[in-house]
Amino acid sequence: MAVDVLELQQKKHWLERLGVDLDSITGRVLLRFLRNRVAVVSACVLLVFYLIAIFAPWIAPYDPIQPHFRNRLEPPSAKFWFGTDPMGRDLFSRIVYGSRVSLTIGLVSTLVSFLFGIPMGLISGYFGGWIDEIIQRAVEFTSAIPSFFLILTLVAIWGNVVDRLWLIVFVTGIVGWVGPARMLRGQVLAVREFEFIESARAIGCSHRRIMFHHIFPNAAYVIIVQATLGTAGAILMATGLSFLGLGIQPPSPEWGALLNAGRNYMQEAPWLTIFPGLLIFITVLAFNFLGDGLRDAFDPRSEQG
Amino acid sequence: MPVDKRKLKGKEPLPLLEVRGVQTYYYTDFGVVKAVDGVSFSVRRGEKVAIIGESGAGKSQTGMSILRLIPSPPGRIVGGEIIYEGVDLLKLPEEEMREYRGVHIGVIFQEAAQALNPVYKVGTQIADAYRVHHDCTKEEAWEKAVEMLRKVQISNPEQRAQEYPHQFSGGMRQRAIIALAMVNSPNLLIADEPTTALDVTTEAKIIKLINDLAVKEDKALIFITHDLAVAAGLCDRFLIMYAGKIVENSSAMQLFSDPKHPYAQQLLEALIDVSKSEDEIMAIPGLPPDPYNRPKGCSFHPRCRKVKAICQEVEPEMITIEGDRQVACHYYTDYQAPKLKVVSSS
Amino acid sequence: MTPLLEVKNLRKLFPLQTGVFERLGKMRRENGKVIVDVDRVHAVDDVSFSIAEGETLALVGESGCGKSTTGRVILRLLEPTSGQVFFEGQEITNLPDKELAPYRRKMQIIFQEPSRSLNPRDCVGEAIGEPLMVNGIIKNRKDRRQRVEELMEAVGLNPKMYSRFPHKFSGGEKQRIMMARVLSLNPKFIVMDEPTASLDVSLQAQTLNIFKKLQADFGLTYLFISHNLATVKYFCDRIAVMYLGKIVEIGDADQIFLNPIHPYTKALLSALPVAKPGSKRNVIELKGSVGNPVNPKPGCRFAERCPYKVADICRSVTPKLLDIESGHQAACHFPDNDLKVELPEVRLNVKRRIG
Repeated sequence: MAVDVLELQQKKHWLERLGVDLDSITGRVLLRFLRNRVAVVSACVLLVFYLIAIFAPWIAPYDPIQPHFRNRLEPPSAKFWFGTDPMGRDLFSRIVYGSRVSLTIGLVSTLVSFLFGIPMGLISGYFGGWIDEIIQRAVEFTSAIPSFFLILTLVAIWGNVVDRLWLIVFVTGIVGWVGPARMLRGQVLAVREFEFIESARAIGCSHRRIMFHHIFPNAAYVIIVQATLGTAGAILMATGLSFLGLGIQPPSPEWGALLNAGRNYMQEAPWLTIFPGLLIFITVLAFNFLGDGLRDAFDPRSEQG
Repeated sequence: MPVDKRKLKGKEPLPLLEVRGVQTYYYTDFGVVKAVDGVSFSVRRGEKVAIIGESGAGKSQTGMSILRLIPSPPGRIVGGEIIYEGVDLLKLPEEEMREYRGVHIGVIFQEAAQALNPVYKVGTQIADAYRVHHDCTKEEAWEKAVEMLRKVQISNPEQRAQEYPHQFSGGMRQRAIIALAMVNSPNLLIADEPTTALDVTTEAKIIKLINDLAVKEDKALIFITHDLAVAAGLCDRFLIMYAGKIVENSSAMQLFSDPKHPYAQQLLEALIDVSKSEDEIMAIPGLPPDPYNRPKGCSFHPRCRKVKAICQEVEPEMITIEGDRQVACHYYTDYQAPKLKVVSSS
Repeated sequence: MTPLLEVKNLRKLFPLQTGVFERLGKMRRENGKVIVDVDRVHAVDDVSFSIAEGETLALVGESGCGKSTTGRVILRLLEPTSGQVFFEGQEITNLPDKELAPYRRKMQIIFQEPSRSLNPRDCVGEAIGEPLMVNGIIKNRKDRRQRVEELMEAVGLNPKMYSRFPHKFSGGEKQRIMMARVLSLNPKFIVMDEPTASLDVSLQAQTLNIFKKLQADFGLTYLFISHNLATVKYFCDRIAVMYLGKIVEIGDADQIFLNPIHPYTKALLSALPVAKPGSKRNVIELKGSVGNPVNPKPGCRFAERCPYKVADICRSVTPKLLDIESGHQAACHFPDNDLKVELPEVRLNVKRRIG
């Protein structure tokens, strides 16, 4: 208990030095988040992954595409950390470059889905009435589209015309708006019932101010949680597509594609599947832990006291 | 069993419940909250005890401590004894405690809407509560449930028992909860602000009902509320709590005619009552103390009208005056109404 | 003299939420037109009253009687179904939003649950300064802060608390924050929707006293919505008792307490808890529970529960408010009913002078 209190004091101190008002909602959420070790570790892992993706050219020791047939199927060693593939390329370098593709897909498709989802959810929940009816029907319609097969079809049609990466990103994003829209709408409906909204109307706030100053910040937490889970989902979807050979085309290294390529060498070179698989696993798990941690941090009931 | 003990002891019956120095603390991110800080009192059979206090005074926490329903973490009962008919409830294993809850000690919570499960019929819920502790058939339990609903004056109980909580009005729901709490005829009923959410006319009816049920069967009642006026019509002993401690323990007559603790006095003066004219109502200055950072010495001293130097330094102890009357104030004698001459102590 | 606020035949009906198919089933043709019979809750039904400047009128009744809805319709936070509201002689019921804005500023509202009426993300200073900012009254940040600090002092809050967040304050303090926020607009009229109902008894007197002081300092007129007659007697000049959307009795506080007429008023008074231990009082018990005013039939709405006799006329004719004495009206077919209210001696307020 004593150690805990000490640690807490330390965290409070850091936050204060960073200029965070511990009294504010944000400060309390941050503090609660920092107390959740699993979530903090997950956040750090993801941060490292994204940094690796950004600085891939400086981190990867070898060229990820250029074959070196002399080093075919080398097991992991000090020279090739994760071993090499059948074309003699360093797996570590390929994974580092591959993270660029996989993580971009996750992030950008989530951004796209939020770009559509947030205004839709906000408008639908705030104004209600026939606007809400229309948006809700659109949500139901979109939810009925099996996005995985839609992408499969589109890749089959346009796969060689447009860049598959962006095709996947945009289709996942556009189909994915329903998740955040639906969740945000629900939360907006709950926040709208609070008297401070009525008070805002009584003092003469515009709809815009009520929506963006009073409702959105108090409702946004649900979609922040949704964002982490959505990103994980998009990454899984992209790797799944690549695994089926319908995603990003070789030789461009993508985690799902790497997994697919390693499949044939499971016996002689298990590292080819283990490392990409492990990374996909860690990334998705970390996103999920992060989402859980955020949800708990945003939920004042989880606060002790 | 307890009846025998009472006879042995002669005229001074063993109290049904004795709470001794109970401390319930909450360990939170922002510090330790001493929700209940060394509370002692006893409840006899046939007695109706009111625990009065502001929110945060620890009155509900005292009730929850008796039932051992403190959410843990962050809360913990860190000290004291709760003796119910000679058994220390705090030492019981959880399974045996469960037997005490419901059978020996019933409870009514404030939020009537949340205490009933919305997906089961009201009758089923009451019957189930009965069947948990009694060996009987479903039909017998159902009969019992209907009988209980009749007892709490729900008209047409046979039909009402078949209905779901949402079909009940607020007052009827509170009646159903009372039926649920009383189905195993507990000897002690703890009612935690049972009427706060109700309308005045309904409140009066529920209070009357609680009174009838508690008195008729020689049971004891602990009535937790912040509203002195409501408790005045029901209870015969009053425990005034402030900042986790009992500051005055008096009979109803004593409290309302001659309150001893300055907080009790100021509380009565601040009470908005029809029998007072405008200038007879005097607000208590200041605010309830910050639970993380209670004042040194007597917790009430920043708001006390008669505060002196010692109050800021030394915490007053509970002193027994006039038989079983107790007060925790350094200067209680100063406030004595002139007509009272000598304080007799037993 | 025109009263500050006048409400005439105000009505607010809420259509009951129904599904599409249910609505289809209720469709019928009449004179070649398709009409859908929607069930409507008559939350506020033909309510009229007026409030003079500086006065406090109480709207008393049990939950569901339409008292809060009345307050919100007056401020047009809800649109009235029919009827008129005059503020300073000007009808505001049909004003478009733009023209309503200046009246909105003069008419404000305080809510029951202080914990729900402040945005948890805005610090106290932001909450109090928001009306000044959104209405462009004080544009300069520094001046605004100064004004906010003045207001905080006026309601008895320490200006040092400027950047504290609402959760750090007790219920009574939050109500004062709300008051400061509302006062920044210099309103003339404030609807107080059970402002002390969720406060501890120990803090109610304190908070009400602050409201009284502010009423004198700022020249305010209050519509005080409450279910607690004791509070109302302490705080208000006149009382209107509501039951299921209708005013059943209205009069000076003293008239209502000393000479209640309507059986419902009497029942309310008799049920009032009184801080006298051992006093055995005869509570006038009401049968059943408050109904729901869905498509009400003509007749007295209280007839179902009336402890006095229920005659045929009660079931067929809706009673109108009749003069009992000067300024005292009751809507009962039997104003001479002999229902007795046992009240402990009611001490009357010294008539409050309105400054």
